[in-house]
Amino acid sequence: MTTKGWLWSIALCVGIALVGLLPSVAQAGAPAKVVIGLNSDVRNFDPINTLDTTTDRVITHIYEYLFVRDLDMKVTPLLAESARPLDDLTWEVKLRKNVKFSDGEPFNADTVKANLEYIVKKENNSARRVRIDLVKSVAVVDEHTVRISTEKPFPTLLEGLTEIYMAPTKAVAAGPKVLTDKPIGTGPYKLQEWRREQSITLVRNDGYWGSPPQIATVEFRIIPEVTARVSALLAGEIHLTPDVPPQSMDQVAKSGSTEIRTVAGRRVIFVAFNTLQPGPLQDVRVRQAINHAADVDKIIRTVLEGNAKQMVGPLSVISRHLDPKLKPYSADPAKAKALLQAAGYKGAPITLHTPNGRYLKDKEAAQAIADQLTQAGLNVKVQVDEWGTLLDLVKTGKVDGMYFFGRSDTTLDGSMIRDWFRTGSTWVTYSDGKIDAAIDKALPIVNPDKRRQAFYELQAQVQEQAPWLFLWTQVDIYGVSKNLQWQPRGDEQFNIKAAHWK
Amino acid sequence: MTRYLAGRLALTFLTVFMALSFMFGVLHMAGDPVLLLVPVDSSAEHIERMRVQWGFADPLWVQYGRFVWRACQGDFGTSLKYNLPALSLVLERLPATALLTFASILFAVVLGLPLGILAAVREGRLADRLSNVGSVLGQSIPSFWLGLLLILMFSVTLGLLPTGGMGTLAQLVMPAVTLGLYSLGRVAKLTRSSVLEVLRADYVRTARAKGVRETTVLVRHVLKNAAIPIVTIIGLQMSGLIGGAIVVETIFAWPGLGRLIVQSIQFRDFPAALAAVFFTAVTVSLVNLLVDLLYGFLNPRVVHE
Amino acid sequence: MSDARAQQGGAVRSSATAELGGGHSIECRRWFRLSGGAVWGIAAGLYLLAEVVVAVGAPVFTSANPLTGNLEHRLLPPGSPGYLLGTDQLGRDVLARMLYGARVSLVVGVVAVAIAGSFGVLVGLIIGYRGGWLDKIVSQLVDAQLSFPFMALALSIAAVLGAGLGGIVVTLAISSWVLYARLVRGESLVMRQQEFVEAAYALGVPARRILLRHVLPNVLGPAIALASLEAGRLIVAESSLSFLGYGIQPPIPAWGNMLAEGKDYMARAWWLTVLPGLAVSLTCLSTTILGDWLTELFDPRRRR
Repeated sequence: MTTKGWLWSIALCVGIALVGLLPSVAQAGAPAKVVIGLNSDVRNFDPINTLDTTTDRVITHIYEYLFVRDLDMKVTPLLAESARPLDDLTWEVKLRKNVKFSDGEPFNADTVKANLEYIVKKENNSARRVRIDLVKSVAVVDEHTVRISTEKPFPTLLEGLTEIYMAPTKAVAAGPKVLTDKPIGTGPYKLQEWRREQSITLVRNDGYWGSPPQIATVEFRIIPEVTARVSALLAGEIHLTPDVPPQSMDQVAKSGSTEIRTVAGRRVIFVAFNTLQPGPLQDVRVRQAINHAADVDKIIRTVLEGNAKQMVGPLSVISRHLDPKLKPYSADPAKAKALLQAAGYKGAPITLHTPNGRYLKDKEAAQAIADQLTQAGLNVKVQVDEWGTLLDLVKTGKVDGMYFFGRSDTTLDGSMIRDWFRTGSTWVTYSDGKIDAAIDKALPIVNPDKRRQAFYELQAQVQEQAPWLFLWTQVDIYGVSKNLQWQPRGDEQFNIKAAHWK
Repeated sequence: MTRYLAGRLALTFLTVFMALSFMFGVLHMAGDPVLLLVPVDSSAEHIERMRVQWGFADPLWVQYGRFVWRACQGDFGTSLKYNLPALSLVLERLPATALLTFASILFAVVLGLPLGILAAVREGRLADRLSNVGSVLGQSIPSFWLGLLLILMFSVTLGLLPTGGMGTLAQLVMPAVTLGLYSLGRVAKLTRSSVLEVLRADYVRTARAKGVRETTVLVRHVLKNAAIPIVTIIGLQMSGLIGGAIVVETIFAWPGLGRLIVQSIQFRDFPAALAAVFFTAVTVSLVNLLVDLLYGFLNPRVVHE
Repeated sequence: MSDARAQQGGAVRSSATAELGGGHSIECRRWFRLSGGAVWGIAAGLYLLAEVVVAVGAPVFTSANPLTGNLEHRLLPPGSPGYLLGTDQLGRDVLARMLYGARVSLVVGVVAVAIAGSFGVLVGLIIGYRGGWLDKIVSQLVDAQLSFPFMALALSIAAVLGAGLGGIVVTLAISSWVLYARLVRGESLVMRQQEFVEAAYALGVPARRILLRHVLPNVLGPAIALASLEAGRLIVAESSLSFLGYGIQPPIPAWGNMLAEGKDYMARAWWLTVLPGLAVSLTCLSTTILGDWLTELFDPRRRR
C-alpha cells in the first residue's frame, strides 16, 4: 500500500472512533440533581473519628448536629429545640421530637448521651473530642431532655456542638467504625454510592423530619487538578465548586453560564513566629518590625486579587468578638527599620517556611512577604516544605524562624485563641505568661458583656505582643452555575438542602 | 523450563520484597507519619494515642517485622486515611490502571506501528525524518502540560471531550493519548528499525526478485519479525507507564494506582503505599517474565539458562 | 537480569542500526544515509550548545532581576513595555527567569546524569567483570529498582530529601543510575569473555587496569549515548517533580518549576507555560535526537 493509502486508513479509523465517542460527552445535570466538584475525597463516613473540612462538607448532608449555624453564622437549634445553662457547670438541652435515623432508630436523649460520652472519653481517641473537651457527662432527664455537665465553665458549649454529629446509638455502641462506608444519619440525604477517588452520590432521605430538599440527588465529583476542575465547571460537567483561584474568576464570571459567589470565611492566615528557639524573633520589637515591614494590603490586592480581608489582630473578620476599634499594623518600612535598630538586629538570617498549595497562594504570598521584609532590612529566605515536614517542625517546636500557616476559627467567638497562643497548646510555638493569664481569665466568663470586654483586651494584648505576622482572613470563592439558587456560607458548608434550581 | 520458571518466580518474590522494604524505609525516613493523619486542631494527647493505636510507637524493627509477617499472610493492614483494608483499596484501583495502561499501549501501537512502517518504507526521505522527530516530540513534552493543554482545547474550547473521570469511553481518550504518546515514540522507532532490518534480508530480496507483491512481502515476512521487538518494548514500557500514570491520573482525575501511590506517600499512609507498591512491583515483574518467555518463544535462538 | 533480556537489549540496539550496517549499498548512498542521520544529530547538538551559551551569558542578555518583581506589574503579556516576554504572577521578568532558569535546568540535567552515569558505569563495570555472587546480588537490586516506577521512586526519595536543588539532583540521580549499570554490565560481561582479556588476567594484570584500559573505552560510547538520552528525560522529570510539589526552592527559577507554577494560569497567561514548556520540550527533543544518533554511532555491532 502506498503512503497515501496508509495515511487515509489511519485517518478513517481515527475519524470513526471520534464520531463514535461524540455523544458521550457529559451532559448537564437533570433539574433535580447538583454536581459539586471537590479537590479531594472524604476520609470516610465515620462522623466521630474524622475531623476535616472535605469530609464535613459531604457528611453534613447525611448527619446532623444539635445546633447549627445560620447564614449569619449565629448558632441556632437543629436537632435540639432549645438550651439554657442551669448553672456554671450544667446545661439543659431540650431535643426535637419525632426524629428518626434513616434505619428507623429514633433520635432521643439516649442518642445524645451515647454520642457525647463516647467522644469525650479519652480512650476512644475521637478526633472530635477537642471541640467539646470540657464536657464531663450527660444525664438523661426524659426522652427529649438531657443535662450536660462540664468540668469547668464552658460558655461556648453550643458553638462546640455545631461540630458534633449525632450517630445512631447502636453504631456508637458497636464502635463508630461500622459507619465508615455505611453512614446512617438523621439528615436530608442518604449515601447511595461511594466510588473512592471518583464520586460520592447522595439521594434524598424520604424519612427526613424536616421539609424535603428540592434537590433530589447530590453528586460530589473528585477532580484534584484545579485547572481541570474549573474547566469542568465551564463545560457544564459540574455545577458548583469551591476554591476557584483568583486568576480564574474572570473566566468563570464571563462565561455566560457560570458566575462567582464569594463569602468572607473563617480561616485565618498568618505567619507564626517561633519564639521557643533562640533568635531575633524572641524580641517583641523585631516581631512588631516585621508587622510594619510587610504591606499586607498590597499583597491582598495583587497576589490574592482582593480576595481576602486584612486581619487587625488574631481574630477572624467574622468573629463576633472582633474589636471594631482596633487598627491593624501600618505598612511602614521606616518604622520597621527603627524598631530593628532599637532591637539591635544585625542581619541574622530568618527562614520563612511555607507549604505549597495548602492555603490559597501560600507560596506566592510568602515570596512577596519575604521581598517586602528584605527591603526593610531583614535577612529573610523562603523555604517551601512538604506539608508533612512542616507539621513535624511546628509540632516539635523546631521551626527555625517563622512559618506561613492557617487555622479555622470554628467557634467564631475568639476562644480559639487558647489553641493558637496559649503555652502548651500542641501547635503553638509561642509562650508568654501574661497572655496565658489573660486567656485563662477570659475563657470561662459567662456574662456576654464581660466576656466581650475581656476578649477586646485580650486581642489588643496579643496584637501588641505580635506572636504572628497578622495577614488576612480568606474570602472563599465559589464558582456556580447561574441557574442554581445557592448561597455560600462562612463555615464552608454547602448545605444543599437549602438550594434549588431556578 | 520448570526450573527456569521456578527460579524466575523466586527472583520475582525477592524483587518485590526488596521494593517493599525500600518503601517501608523511605516512608519512615520522611518524617512523623501521625501528624498528617490527625486533624490540625488535635491535642498532643490525641496524637500520642493515635500513634500507639496505629503501631507507630513501637521500635522500627518491631514495626518492620510485624509488617513482613502480616504481608506474607496477605494482610497489608488498614489504610490510615480511609480506615478500610489497604489491599481492597488497591484492588479497587487495579482495573482503572489496567484499563488506562492497556488503552495507552493500544494507542501507541495502533499509531506507532504504521508510523514506523511508513518511516522504514520511505527510509531517508522526508516522511521518515518527520515521523522520527514527531515521535520523539511525544516523549519530550511534559505530560502534565500536555494533559492540561488537551483539556483546555478539547473540553473547554471545543466541548468535544469530558475533562476527566472514568466511566465512559470518551473519558478514556485524553488520558490514554497523553500517556501513550510517551511510548509511541519508542514503538515507532523500534518498528522502523526491525522493519528495515527485515527489508534488507536476503530472503526478502529473493521474494521481491521472484515478483511477489510488495504487500505480501511486507505482511508475511516483515510484520512477523517485527512482532518480537514490539512485544519486548511493551514489556519494557510497563514500568514507565505505571510511573507516568501518576501525573496523568492526577490531571484527569483518573482513579488509578498511580494516584493512590502519590497520595499515600504524601499522606504517609503506610498500609496503602506498601500495598500499592506490592502490586506495582508484582505486575511489572510478572510482565517482564511474560515478555521474556514470549521472546524466547518467538525467537528460538534465545536460550534460557 | 536475565541474559535473554541482555540479548534482546542487544538485538534492540542492533536493529536500530540496521540501516547503517547494510553493506550492500553503494558507497555514496551509504554516506548520504549516514549524513541524513548525522545532520539531525549535529543540528540537535548545536541547538543544545546554543542553549548553554545563552544560559551562561544570561547577564549579557538581560539586566532584570529574575528573583524579585514588581507586584503592581503582575501577569503582563509579552511585548509589554520593559518586559519582552512579559511578567509572571509575582511581577518578575519572564525573559530573565527563562535565561537564568536555563542555567538551573541544564545544570540539573547534566549533574544528575553525571552522578548517575559515573556511579552506574562503575557498578556495571565491576559486577559485569567479576560476576559471581556480587553480580547476582547487585543485579537483583537493579532489577528491584527497575520494577519500581520511576516517578514513584523519585517521589519517595524526594519526600525524604525534601525540595531544593540538591535534593532534586540527588533524587534524579538515585532514580536513574540503574540504567547505566544495566547497560555497562552487559558490555562488561561480553568483554570478560574476550580472549585478550582472559590472557591479560592470566598474566596477572590487575583487574583495575583491565577494566580501565580495555573494557571502559568500549563501554564509554554507548554510555555517553545513554547519558544524552537521559539528560533530556531528567529535565522533563524535574518539571514533573515540581508539579508534584518537589521543585527547586523559590524564588530560584528553573524551567520545570516555572512550568509547574504557570499551570494554574494557563487560561489567563499562556506565556507562563508555553515558554518554559517549549524550552523543556525542545531541549529534551534535542538530547533525544542527539542520543539516538550517538547510539547508532557507537553500536557495538558496527564496531566489530
